[in-house]
Amino acid sequence: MMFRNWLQRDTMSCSDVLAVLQAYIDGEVTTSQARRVVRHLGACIPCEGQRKLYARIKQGVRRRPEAVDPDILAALRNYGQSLTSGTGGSAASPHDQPPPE
Amino acid sequence: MVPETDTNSAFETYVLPELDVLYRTAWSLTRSDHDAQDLVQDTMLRAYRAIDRFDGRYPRAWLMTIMRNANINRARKRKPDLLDDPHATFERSTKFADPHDPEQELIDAAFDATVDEALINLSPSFRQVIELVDLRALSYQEAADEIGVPIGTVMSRLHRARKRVKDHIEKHGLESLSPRGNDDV
Repeated sequence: MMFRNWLQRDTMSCSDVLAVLQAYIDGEVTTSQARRVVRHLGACIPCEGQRKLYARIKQGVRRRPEAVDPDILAALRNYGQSLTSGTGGSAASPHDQPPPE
Repeated sequence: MVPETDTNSAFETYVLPELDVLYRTAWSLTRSDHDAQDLVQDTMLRAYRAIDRFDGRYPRAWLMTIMRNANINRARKRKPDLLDDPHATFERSTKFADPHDPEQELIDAAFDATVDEALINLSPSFRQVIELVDLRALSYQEAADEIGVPIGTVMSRLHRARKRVKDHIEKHGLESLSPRGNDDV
């Protein structure tokens, strides 16, 4: 009986894991919690998928790309609009624009 | 035959709003403004020609597939003998080991640009906790002290903010594009 109780305490449901998943990724859980999360993730493909996705988002925040030069975007938009206006993309090519200073 | 107005309308709806992400992704692949613009133009042209066969679901993921193919085509044009070279074939077959795999670069760049897009659209209080914890690497307690709120508020904002970013990624169908292994986070 005691062993069964211990087992129950030592396992986590998906909702338990999802509640602490972000704290786990941020290294904000205790060693004991982390061990139980790891055990669950090793056996649960959907929760492991969520972990990977959140971890990848965290990575993406760190690698935020620089803003795109508005002139480049405008030139590309002109090119796209030339396709729909029937000029077939031959007009307003971004490379027809003067180089940025 | 799809009427031209429908084609144009679909192009304006599905392709033109994606130019920012397309350019960032192309730049990540080419590391050159000139080549990135060429690649985006090529992608747009291919998308325009194929848009009447597009079902309207996940335009960003669809455009990334087009860009990937356009980029492969550009590489072939630059090195037409690549396909006949047995060593090149071997390199392609082992490209999963290449940390600069263009396909992975493309997926990563599209993913990162989409994360950035989601962050820009977050409320300032949500964006603030993400920046404190993920960019400045503060602990939850340090972030709470910095903002002057209880730690539970930081956790709650962080949870909701990241959920919104995740929803944005999923809205664009990018969650299944096999992002890079991320155990180094």
